[in-house]
Amino acid sequence: MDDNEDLKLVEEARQGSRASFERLIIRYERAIYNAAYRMVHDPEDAKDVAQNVFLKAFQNLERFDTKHRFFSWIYRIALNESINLCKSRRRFESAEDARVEENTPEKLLRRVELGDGVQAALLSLASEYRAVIVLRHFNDCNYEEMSEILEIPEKTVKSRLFTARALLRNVLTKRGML
Amino acid sequence: MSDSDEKYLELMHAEIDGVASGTERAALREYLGSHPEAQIAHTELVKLTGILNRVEAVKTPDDLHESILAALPRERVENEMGARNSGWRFRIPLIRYGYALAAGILLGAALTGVAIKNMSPLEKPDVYGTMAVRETAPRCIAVDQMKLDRPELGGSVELCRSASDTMIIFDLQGDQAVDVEVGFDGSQGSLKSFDLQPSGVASFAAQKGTISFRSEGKQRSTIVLTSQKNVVLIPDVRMYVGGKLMQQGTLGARGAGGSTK
Repeated sequence: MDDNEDLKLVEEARQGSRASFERLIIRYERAIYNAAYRMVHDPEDAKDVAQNVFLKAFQNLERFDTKHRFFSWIYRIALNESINLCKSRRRFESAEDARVEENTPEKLLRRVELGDGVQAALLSLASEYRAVIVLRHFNDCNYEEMSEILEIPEKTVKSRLFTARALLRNVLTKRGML
Repeated sequence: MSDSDEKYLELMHAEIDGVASGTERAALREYLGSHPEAQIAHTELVKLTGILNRVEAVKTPDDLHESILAALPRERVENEMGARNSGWRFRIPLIRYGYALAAGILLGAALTGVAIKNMSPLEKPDVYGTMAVRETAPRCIAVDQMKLDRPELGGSVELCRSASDTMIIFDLQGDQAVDVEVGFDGSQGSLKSFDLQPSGVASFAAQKGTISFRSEGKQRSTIVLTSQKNVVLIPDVRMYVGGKLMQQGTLGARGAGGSTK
């Protein structure tokens, strides 16, 4: 994506152009939905996250620091939204059931429908590890972009990605997929 | 793992991510040729990447674009259309979770007899927040603490409990790296989350009943374990500096005080 074009559209949107904001939506809605889906594994929830991301971006456009990339900003919002949604959902489920299930990788795997072992394995990772896998492998972000999105040094991005891959490999191995 | 092994492990990932130079790739090939165990790890990593790359893209809902537009405040839309005095109207996409969560909280309060005013507030999404996982165990009560007052290992380890969560907070103040091992009954509980601030996990591993990680210097690490309601997890903590066991103790074994060696 062209960062300069993004910044131009942001500036126009700040001046009140809804058409420019809609062009930003068109540019990123699929990527944001994709990232959210990988984080929350529910089409409706992913759609909710995507809606919320652009709503928050719209509401906070004046606060966006144009020294950074627009896509980094909205990816960060998307990941935070996804994580918060997962937490809300987990608490709701706990309250509703009046009992707490063990969140073991095995149980999480069983919860997921057939045919999506990788997604199930992803869900068993802590959100910080899931996020780096999603950004690197499903959104094709490089280390520098991930560093900007996650607001952590590149060195930390690498170590987190290495650990995430090791954890994911363990889960997939247990499941006989590796 | 030696520094050399770590270097080549990093090279494996660099190769996978397409950022290794020709020289680095050649060095990696040479290393793999003489290290069978590294060759196995490399093969698994390549397989893992292959599997991830073969995952098909998610199908985007047909109405995604329209639903995003519909969720935006109407004011700016109407400004463009020339309408006035529209006021702000929001469609909050997560409202169903809000209602559901509120209902859940009320139900929980009724069942447990806990006053609503004591409940922890819901976390709110933060547009400018970081990826740091903000775990707040509801009504978490400190039940035990281990003071660390050795020259090589200072700070404290605290155990907090809520109805179903057990939180172990390592506030380590030494300058040296500390290898931490936490053991617990894996049939009764499991890892819910791990957080380390300032972030930067040098190593982390979790298996059934065991969690190990390295804390580099002054860091605060939080492990949250979850279990069936009313199951009490008694974590056993070991801390090593330079490979030498410096502190070992059981937290929460005797109500307000654990045993420490």
